[in-house]
Amino acid sequence: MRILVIGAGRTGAKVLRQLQKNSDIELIVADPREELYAVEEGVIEKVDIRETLTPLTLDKVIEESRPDLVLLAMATEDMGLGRAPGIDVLADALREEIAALSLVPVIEVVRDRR
Amino acid sequence: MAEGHIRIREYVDGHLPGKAQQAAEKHLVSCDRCRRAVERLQQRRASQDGGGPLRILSRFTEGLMRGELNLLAPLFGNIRLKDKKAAKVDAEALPLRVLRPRVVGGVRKLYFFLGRFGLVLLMTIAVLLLPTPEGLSAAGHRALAGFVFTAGVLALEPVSLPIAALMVPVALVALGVATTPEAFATFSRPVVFLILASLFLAEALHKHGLTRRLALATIVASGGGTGAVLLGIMGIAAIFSMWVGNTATTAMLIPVALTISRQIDDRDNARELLALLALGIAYSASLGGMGTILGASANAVASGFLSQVMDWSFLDWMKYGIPAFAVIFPITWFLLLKLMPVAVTRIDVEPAREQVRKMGRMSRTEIEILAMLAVTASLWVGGPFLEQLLHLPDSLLSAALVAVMAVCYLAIREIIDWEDLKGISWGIFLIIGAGLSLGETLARTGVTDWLALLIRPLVEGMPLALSLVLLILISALMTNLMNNTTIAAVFVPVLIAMAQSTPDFNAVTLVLPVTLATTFGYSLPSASGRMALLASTGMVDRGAMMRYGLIMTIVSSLVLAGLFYLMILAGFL
Repeated sequence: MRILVIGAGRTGAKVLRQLQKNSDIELIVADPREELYAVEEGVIEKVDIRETLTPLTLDKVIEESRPDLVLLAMATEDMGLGRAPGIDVLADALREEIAALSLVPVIEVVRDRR
Repeated sequence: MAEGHIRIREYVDGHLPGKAQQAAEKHLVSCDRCRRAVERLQQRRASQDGGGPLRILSRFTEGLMRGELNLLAPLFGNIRLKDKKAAKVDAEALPLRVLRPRVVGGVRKLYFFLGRFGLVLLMTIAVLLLPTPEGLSAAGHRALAGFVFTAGVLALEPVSLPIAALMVPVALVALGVATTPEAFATFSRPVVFLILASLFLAEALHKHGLTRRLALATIVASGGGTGAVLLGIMGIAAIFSMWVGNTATTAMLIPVALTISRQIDDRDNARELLALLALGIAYSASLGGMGTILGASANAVASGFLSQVMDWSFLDWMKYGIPAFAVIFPITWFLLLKLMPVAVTRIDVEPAREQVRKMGRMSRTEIEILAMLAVTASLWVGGPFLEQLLHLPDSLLSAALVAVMAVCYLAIREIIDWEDLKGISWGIFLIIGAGLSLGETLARTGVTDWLALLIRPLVEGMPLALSLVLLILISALMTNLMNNTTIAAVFVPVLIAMAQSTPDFNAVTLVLPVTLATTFGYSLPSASGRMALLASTGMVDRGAMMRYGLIMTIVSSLVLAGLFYLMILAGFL
């Protein structure tokens, strides 16, 4: 099974650690940032796709990774979008939009509390 | 290639394969649209390559707006001229990319905090060191410094806005112009709870996907013409913003705009369309906020002050706010289409229809939420009449209490729970409380009367229409730099004081236009939560935001002034 994990921050690292327990799972990690907690902690060597997942990039990311399942594991504060008010509502709405649009199952493993 | 056209960015960057490049060149000979787009992009690229003083100034301003630089950066030679790596990556990416992260942390974060907060302190101390202005008491002088501190801390945001707001009572008490109970008393005003409850209601809409459903349904109903789609999404944004938080509405609708834009294959066309829709959503969410007291925190603050000097209800605000919205909204839509022409004239609504179909029929919960919102809105409008008619306890159906009852109903029906409410932007409660606290302190220490004397020449001995234009333009331009709650907090008491001593005016004549004008903060990210959101996501080019925003601000201000002038002449005010 191929699982695409979106986010290699603290939450992503936790998810990856759990998934790595099953060696049959093939993991692909996407995160657009330069400094990644999961890499710093040695959970993964590097991310496979440096891309921000939005409805606009969804098709490309799915095409590149061909996953059976997508796990959204990027907390809003890890998105690095700054402190604009409403950014957390936007992040929530964005995750829901991606889940609605995707033809591959998408599961949110993080839902931020503002 | 999409619809026979070429991929502009790939062509200009030389990323098309050999044969495709030749085909593109052939296509350019016969296609005006693509040729213009290529020229535009080439010009843009050429201007970005330069590094003259104007360009450096522009990048510095951009850095300030992004929050990556502070005002002291030039002193330390820290203006980052260009993120070359990011630009390279951008050119190589195929799909349109927005919401790209920028991470500021560690020492840099501390440096920004110290730089910004230091500047606020510096300005405050500078005001304190100035001689006391004539006509102002010593306490008034210190309160003026408190105003400068508040304006600085809310505009420069060394910390997030709600925490910045918390610094206001601290500063007022430290400056000796308020006691602790006085500084915090305003945080429990009914209007604060009205706004909070409206955020709770927004959460119910968001949680059950109603905003998205209605937005998608509107797009399907629009038939796919770009103008109609824009009108539809702007209409939804405006209607929701009247009743629930306008920044939250914008945030909920931006992903829908992304979904619409993803259907456009050409990246440049998609970006144009996305920018148009995003600005449309942000502008109309602001405009919708004009309609009701809970549409914007500035309205809440102004209403808080007005209700202390006169009978002022939810309906009273709507009597002026709704006509202003009804006139300015269509003008904004029309101007946006003219200012930002897009190559895409038709959008395929089938994917939106498919999404609506996938969502299934409206659930009982969704219907219940809509019905409850309708009842709540009716009570907000007709509550005072019902109270009298049914001999209900005084203020039982006041706007704030009705909103709180609506939230209780949603919780009892298990439509929302405490976990959901934990998630709303509680910070607004602090921002409104701080705004009111500052305003009251200024009034108590005589600063408002002193400022009223300074501003009086703007309204006395000058034609009424000109006075209105000046006051509205000042408010609208200031709101681009300063939090609109602060503007309302400072100016509303001043305008009320001025109206009370000028027979030609009443408080509403001055307060309403000036407060409504704080809606027109369209040019800078600091203008409002909506614009900050667009700036953070990178959906709209900063230059475009400033350019179109300024035009919109000026046109909307003139229209608002004209409308209020006519209302005064017709005896409505």
